[in-house]
Amino acid sequence: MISYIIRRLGGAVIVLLGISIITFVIAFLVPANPARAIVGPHAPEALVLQVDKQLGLDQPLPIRYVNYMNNLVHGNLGMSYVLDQPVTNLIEQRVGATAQLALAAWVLELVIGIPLGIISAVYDRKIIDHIASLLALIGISLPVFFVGLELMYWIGFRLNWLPVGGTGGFNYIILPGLTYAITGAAYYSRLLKASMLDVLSSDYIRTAKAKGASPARVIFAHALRNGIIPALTYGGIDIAALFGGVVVIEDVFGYSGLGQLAVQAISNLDVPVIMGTVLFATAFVVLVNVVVDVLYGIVDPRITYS
Amino acid sequence: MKSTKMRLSGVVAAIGVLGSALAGCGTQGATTSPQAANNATQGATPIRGGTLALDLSSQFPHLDPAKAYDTTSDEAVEQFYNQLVTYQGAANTIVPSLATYTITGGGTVYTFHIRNAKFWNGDPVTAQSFITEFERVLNNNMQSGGQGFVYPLIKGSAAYVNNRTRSVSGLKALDARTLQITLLHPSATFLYVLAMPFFSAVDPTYVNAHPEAYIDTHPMGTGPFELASYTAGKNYVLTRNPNYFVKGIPYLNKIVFSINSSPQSVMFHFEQGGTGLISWNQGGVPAEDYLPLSTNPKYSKDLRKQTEVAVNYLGLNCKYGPTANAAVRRALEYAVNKQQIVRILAGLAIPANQILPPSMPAGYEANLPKQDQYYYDPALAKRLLAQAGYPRGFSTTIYTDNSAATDLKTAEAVQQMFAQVGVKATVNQSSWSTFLTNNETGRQPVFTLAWLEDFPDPSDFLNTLFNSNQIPVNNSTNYSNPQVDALLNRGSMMSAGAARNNVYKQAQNIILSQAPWIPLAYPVYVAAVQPWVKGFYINPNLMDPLQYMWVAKH
Repeated sequence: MISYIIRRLGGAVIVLLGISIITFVIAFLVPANPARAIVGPHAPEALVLQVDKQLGLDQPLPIRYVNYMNNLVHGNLGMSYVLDQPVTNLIEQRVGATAQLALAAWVLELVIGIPLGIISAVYDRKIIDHIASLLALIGISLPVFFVGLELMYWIGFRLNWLPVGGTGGFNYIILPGLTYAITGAAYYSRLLKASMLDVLSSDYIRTAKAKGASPARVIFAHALRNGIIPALTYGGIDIAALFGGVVVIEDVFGYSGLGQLAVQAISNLDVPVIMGTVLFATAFVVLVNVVVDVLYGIVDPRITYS
Repeated sequence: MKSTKMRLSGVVAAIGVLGSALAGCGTQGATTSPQAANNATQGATPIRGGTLALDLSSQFPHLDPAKAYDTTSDEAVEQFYNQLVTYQGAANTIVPSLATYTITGGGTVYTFHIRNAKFWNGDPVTAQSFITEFERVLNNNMQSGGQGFVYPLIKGSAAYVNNRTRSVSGLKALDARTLQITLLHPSATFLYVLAMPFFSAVDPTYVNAHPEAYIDTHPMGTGPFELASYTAGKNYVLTRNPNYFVKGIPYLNKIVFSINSSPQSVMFHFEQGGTGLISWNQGGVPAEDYLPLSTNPKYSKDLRKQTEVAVNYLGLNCKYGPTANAAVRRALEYAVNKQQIVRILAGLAIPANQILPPSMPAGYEANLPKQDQYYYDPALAKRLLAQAGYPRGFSTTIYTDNSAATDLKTAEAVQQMFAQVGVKATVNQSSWSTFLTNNETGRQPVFTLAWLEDFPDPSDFLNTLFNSNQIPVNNSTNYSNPQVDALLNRGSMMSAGAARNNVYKQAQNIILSQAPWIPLAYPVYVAAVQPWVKGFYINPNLMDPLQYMWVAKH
């Protein structure tokens, strides 16, 4: 197990290295010198060259990359061109907000998705299943920004129950979280339905039923434990992606998270921030995948790592 | 740098006012208070206290006056810091702020008598408070956008910038509260420059004790409001400065800027009455929200509009591609339907027929000479193109950037208009910094751009955008005409007045006849103000007058 984790982490470093090279090259292939944008139109040319030098942009690309990676291993992601602050500070300031939103969104997804999936499987091809499937289909088909704006208009603006947008306490994450849950829950319910149907028709479930176990015990204690594995896999990827920034939803609700930071950085071509947010999100996805793999072993005793 | 884009530069003038200041060379009255006139027009007694809640489009990029050069930053910096002089109310008139002044030496020696004022920490404002800030702005390591406004104009600034001296010889503290600034030559715009936030009073003790990054997030000024707290990503809380040197203001106890970048949510919040104002805190009411608001009887009366001292234009490269031929450029002038451009801007603009906007206090020509009058006539454009040697038109690219949604729409509209006269254009949209980089190559054949004044004088438009010494950065069309250069160089050395205005008029007329630009529209700024928020006005050179604003019962 330990050696497996070490091997996986080694692989993760290679993935991160690859992503860093790709992002770096793409970002710098676009011809853009931030120096003039920083100092404005009235700055003399000498000042622009000086800024170039301070940002290390007078160096050739490979050297810039080596410098960047050298700083990176020392925990320095560089300075934002636009905000003139360390990228690590910017990420640090926003990671909490994104984590709260991600967690809320994820929990709400599970709260909606898992019961929907179980109901669909238990009442397979009955009217309840059709209704549940239809709801899931509608949710999965609706664009995120549309759901977000509707919730903002009806619940935030018309009913005035929750803030219409911005960043703050618990109040501020409900609407964005619900938006994500409505559009994402269907993935869980569909995955769960398929695997549950599979499990419910297997021999050990028939045995359990024959032994007189209550339907609830059969479903929750026996079937769900097995049936939830695909959903668990998806859940890991899902939460990892969420932690990297809930891009569209943060944008719709004006929520100051990592996704919004990344979007602003991209439109401003603020390369250090783009690099920082991309690497952060990648690191998260890679790490969570390792954790999910380890969790498999705990949930399913048949899976072992050697 | 979205907002910076519109905060590019500017020189249109309150020349009449400046003229009298220069001619008189006398001490200006020390206690002119803009709020007196302002409250008179409001017809109500201000109520003290209360909180004004505002939504802020993004965190303030900079709170250090030496670094702030975008409208979002300036919204805060103008609350935290004061300058030697400022603008009176909604006018383009310069009045004393932290200092009264006399001008001698043929317009080259400015002597400032600094008022009794204190920083929030109790330290007094002295001549050194300004000398320190000038040196910070001039210092290359500060990356200040203000450097170009005073270098090399202030005597000794060149030696200082090039590290030959440790101080600037043109900046002298005659005594603790008397500052003397010596210029290399008279400048009709220098007082405007001094009113910019770059040249605020900073506390030398505080500045020397803290690293730059700290000063950029923890202001220490003399201004009407202090920064009480900043919660990253959430809000800025400003509280009233009880010892503000202007007596009687500010009225508000507290201002809360909550960061909210979602325009829909900002609009809903305003309509719910949760915020008091949509103005520079959001870069004005966006075009897409203007129509719904202006047609809604509940809010239409809450909108304040003012033509900006700015112009949106289409640049035609004078050195590169088919537009290098002046006849081609003149032909294209007739191809663009400016009424349609105004419609694209949701009606928040006036069709433009020249470089200087009508909102510029001097230089705008109500009647242009015949050779400078262009109008929409695609058939004529086609004929002129044929005469210029392009009977079948040509292919070109229109460059634009992504800082405003309307930029791309404008470029696409022009693309269609060009197609009607046989010019096939592709549109290239990029980020602002990429656009600038492309622009500096001098090889963008056609591009959309806007210019917003830094201060109200025609030299900021004409000299910055058409002097050949500004190629390729601001003079992006590569326009070069020795006759125009001579006029512009002469104007920048002259004292304000009719003779100087006439120089700029001549320059503009020559430039227009050679058509390096197709002036598209003069944008109109819109703010939405709750009926219970009082004291608001728009000064074209400043951000929101929060220190003069108050909240009525509602």
